[in-house]
Amino acid sequence: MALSAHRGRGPGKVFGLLAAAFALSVVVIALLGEFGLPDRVTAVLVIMITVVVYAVMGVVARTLSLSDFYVAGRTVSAGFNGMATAAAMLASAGFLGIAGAFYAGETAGLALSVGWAGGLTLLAIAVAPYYRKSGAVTLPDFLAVRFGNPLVRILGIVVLLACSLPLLAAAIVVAGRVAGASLHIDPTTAVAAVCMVLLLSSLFGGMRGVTLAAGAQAIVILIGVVTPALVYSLQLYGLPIPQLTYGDAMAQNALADAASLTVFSTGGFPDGGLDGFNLFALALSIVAGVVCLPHVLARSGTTRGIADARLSAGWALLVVAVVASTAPAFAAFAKSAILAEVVGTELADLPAWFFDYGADGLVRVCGDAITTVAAISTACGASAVVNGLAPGDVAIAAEVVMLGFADITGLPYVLTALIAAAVLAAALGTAGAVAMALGASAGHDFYTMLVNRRAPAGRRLFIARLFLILFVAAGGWLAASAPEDALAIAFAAPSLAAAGFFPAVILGIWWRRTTFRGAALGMIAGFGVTAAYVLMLRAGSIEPLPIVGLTDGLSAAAAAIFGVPIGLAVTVVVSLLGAAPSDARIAVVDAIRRPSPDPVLEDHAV
Amino acid sequence: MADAGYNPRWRETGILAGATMIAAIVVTLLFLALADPANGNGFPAGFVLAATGLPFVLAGIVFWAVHRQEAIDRRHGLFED
Repeated sequence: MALSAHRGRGPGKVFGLLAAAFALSVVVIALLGEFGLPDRVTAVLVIMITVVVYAVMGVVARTLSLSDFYVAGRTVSAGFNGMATAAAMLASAGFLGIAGAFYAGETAGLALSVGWAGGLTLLAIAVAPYYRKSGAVTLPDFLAVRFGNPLVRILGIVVLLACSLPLLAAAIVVAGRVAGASLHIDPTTAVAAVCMVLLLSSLFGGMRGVTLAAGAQAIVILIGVVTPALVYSLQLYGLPIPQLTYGDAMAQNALADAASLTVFSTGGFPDGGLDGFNLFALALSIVAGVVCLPHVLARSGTTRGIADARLSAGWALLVVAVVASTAPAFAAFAKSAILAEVVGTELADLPAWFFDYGADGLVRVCGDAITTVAAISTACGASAVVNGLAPGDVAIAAEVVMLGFADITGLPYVLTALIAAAVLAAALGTAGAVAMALGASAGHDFYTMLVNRRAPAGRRLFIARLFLILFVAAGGWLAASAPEDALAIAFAAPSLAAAGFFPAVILGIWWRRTTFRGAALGMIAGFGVTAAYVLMLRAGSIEPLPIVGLTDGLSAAAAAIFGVPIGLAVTVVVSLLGAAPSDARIAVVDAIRRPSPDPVLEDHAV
Repeated sequence: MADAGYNPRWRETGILAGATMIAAIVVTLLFLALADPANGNGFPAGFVLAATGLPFVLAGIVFWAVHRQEAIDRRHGLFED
C-alpha cells in the first residue's frame, strides 16, 4: 500500500496524515480531560489509540512475499525509513535514560546524545549504502556475502543472538512496566499484552508491518517528547521553544544548588551515574554500536535505493536530534519545579506527587522511600521540619525525570499519558525491530542458508514466522523472569554488537585486503573478550577494570572501548599474514562499493 | 589488486568520507570543549550549544555529505534513481 505509492524522498503523505490524526486525538482527549474525563480513562484512551494503530498496521501489511517479509519489499522512502530507524534505535532504556542522565549530570546526557548522533553520522557515510547494495537480508548475511564463507555467518548469528535477545527482553520489560503503570494492570498481564502487540505488528507483515508501525511510533515519540516540554516552556517563559528556554532554567537552578539534586537507579534502569573516562568510552561504544546493531542496520536494507539508504540515516539523525535536544529541557524544568515546590517547602505543603511516587519507591528523601510527612522528619531529623528539605535530601528515580515530568511540573494529566505513550512507542519500536532481526536471522541465515537451501518460499515464510513467535515468547519469558539481568545486559548490547561486528563490517567495506580468516578471528577475539567482561561483571566474578581517575572502574556498557581495538588489531594482523583475497572476492567488494542496480552476487536475491 | 587507486569515483568517495568524518569529529570536540555549564555569563551558552546545537549540526553535515556523494555518483553515471 502507501509505502510504495509514495515516490518522493521525504517521509511522505501517510506520515503527515498519521501525525495530524494523532495530534488531533490528543487535543480532543485533552479537552475532554478539562471537562472532567477521569485520569484513568485518559491514560487508557491515549495508550490504546496508539497501540491499536501499531497492531492494525501490522495486520494491514500482511504479505505472502519473502521480500516484503524480510526487507519491506525494499520500497520504503528515505524519509519514512529514517523515522522508522529512529524508532528502532532510540532503545527503550536509552530513551528513558537520557533525561535522567541530563538530570544526573550534564556530561552524562551529552555522552548519550553524542553517541547517537555520531553513530548515525558514521552509519550514513561508511556503512548504510554498502549494506543496502550488498542485497543482504541480515547482518550475518552481509558478512557472508562479503567474505564468502559460512563460518562468518555462523559467528554473526552468535553475536546477533547475544546482543539482540537481551535487547528484546529489556524493551519488553520497559514496555510492560509503562503499560502496567498507566493502565493499572499487573506486570505479567502487561508483559503478555506487549508480546501480543509485538506479534500483531510483526507476524503478518514482517518487516513491512514493523516499518509501518515504526513510522507511527516515531510520530508518537516526537509528539510525546516535545509537547510537555513545549507547554511548560510556554507557561514559564511565554516562549514555546524549550530548547531556547531551558538554559535560563539551568542558570536559575544553579543559584539554588541544583547540582545536589540526584537520581538513583531502580529495578535495573541505568541512572546515568557514570564518570569521566566511562562517559567518553560509552559515547564511542554507542557510536560503534549504532553502526552495527543488527536491527538498526537492517533498516538500511529496506530503502528504495542505495542513495536513499544514506539519506535515511540523515532523517533518523534529525528525529534523534529533536529528542536529544529536548531531553536537557526535561531535566532542567524538572529541577526548577522541584526547587520551587519541594525544596524548602513546609513539609505539610509538599505536593501530592511527591508522596505518590514515594509510595512506589521512586522518590527517596534522605536515603529513605517516604510516604508520609512523619517519615520525612524521622529520616532527615528536626532541621527538615524547621527549614524544609535541602536539595541534597531529595533524590528521584532516573526514569521519573521523563515519566513523571508532567506530575512534577503540575501539567495536565493528559501529558503524563502522552509521555507514557511515547516511552511505550520507543520500547515497542525497538522490540519490533529487534524481534524482526532475530526472526529474519533465524529464518534466513540459519534455516534457508545453512539447513535447507532448496526450501520453497512458502516453507521459508512459515519457518521465519515460527522463529518470530519463538523469539517473542523467549523475550517475554526473560522479561518476566529476569528483568534486571535483561536491562543490565541490554545496556551493554551496543558494546557487544560493536566488538563483534564493527571490525568485520568497517574493514570489510573499506579495506579490500581483509580476508575471511581475519574477519572471523577478529570477531571471535573482540566479541569473546567483551562478552566475557560483560557477563563476568554481571555475575560478580570479576571486578571492573580499574582505570586511572575512575572510582568504579570501566562500565560494562563501555566495554567496546577495548573490544573494538582488539577485534580491529586481530583482523588486520591475520589478514596481512594470510594470502591476499582472490580476484573473485575483490570483485564482490568492488560490487558492494559501486552504487549501481546490478546485484553483488547472481544467486543472492530476496 | 586491480584498480584500487585508479578508480576515480571510489577515490573521491573515500576523500569525501574522510573529510566528513574529520569535520564531524572536529565539530564534536569543539562543541564538547565549550560545553561546561559554567561557560557564559550566568546563561550556560556553551552547554546549550552542545546539547541542542550539536545533533542538528551533525545532521547538517550528514545531509551535506549525502548531497556531495550524490553529485559524485551522478558525475560518474552511477546515480541510480
